[in-house]
Amino acid sequence: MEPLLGTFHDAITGETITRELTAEEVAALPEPTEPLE
Amino acid sequence: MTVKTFTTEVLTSADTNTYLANSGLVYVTSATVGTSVTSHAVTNCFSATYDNYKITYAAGVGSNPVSIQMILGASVTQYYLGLQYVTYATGLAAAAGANNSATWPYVGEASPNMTSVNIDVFSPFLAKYSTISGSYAGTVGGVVAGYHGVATSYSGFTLSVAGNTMTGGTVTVYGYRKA
Repeated sequence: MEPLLGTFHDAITGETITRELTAEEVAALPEPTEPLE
Repeated sequence: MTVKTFTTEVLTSADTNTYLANSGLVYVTSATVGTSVTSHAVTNCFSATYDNYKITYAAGVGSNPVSIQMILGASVTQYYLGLQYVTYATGLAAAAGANNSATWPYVGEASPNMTSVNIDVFSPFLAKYSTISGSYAGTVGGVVAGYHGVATSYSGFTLSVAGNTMTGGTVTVYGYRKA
């Protein structure tokens, strides 16, 4: 399984990074929503 | 602020700066979404400077048509939302909702040809319930509104697509000027 990535942007510093999500961040990801039809 | 009406004057720097600083919707920050990311977090974008904000996400793509979900800070409880939408092919209306969910589940959509988030967020930095309202443009078209039932101050938010990815496009935050 490929690692899950996330973008992180700090509005104060202006820094934006893309990195692999930590195990805690992956665990906090939401469940998929029902398709809208 | 006194509103001036200009006719043929040459604008002074003072007038120009005054009107730039007193615009209704003020740019706070923006960032390009990474390649094949599941989430996009923006920190330190909410502050005491503004009470209410507009968040947009456009010009990106998603791996599959899937709704974009949103949380404030790290809070994963007490999100309430209603989405009323119309299916393009039939014109028929339908609805979806969330009751004490872990996210606001339908704040936008990422699909192979576009991304769309257009959400106003009210009072996220105040230690009060936050509310949202906006539009949903994607597989269907609709309007969305809801609230977060936790009276806590948050300085940022995260957009995510469960089981899918987003690539490119820009997430922008604006503040509604108070006075």
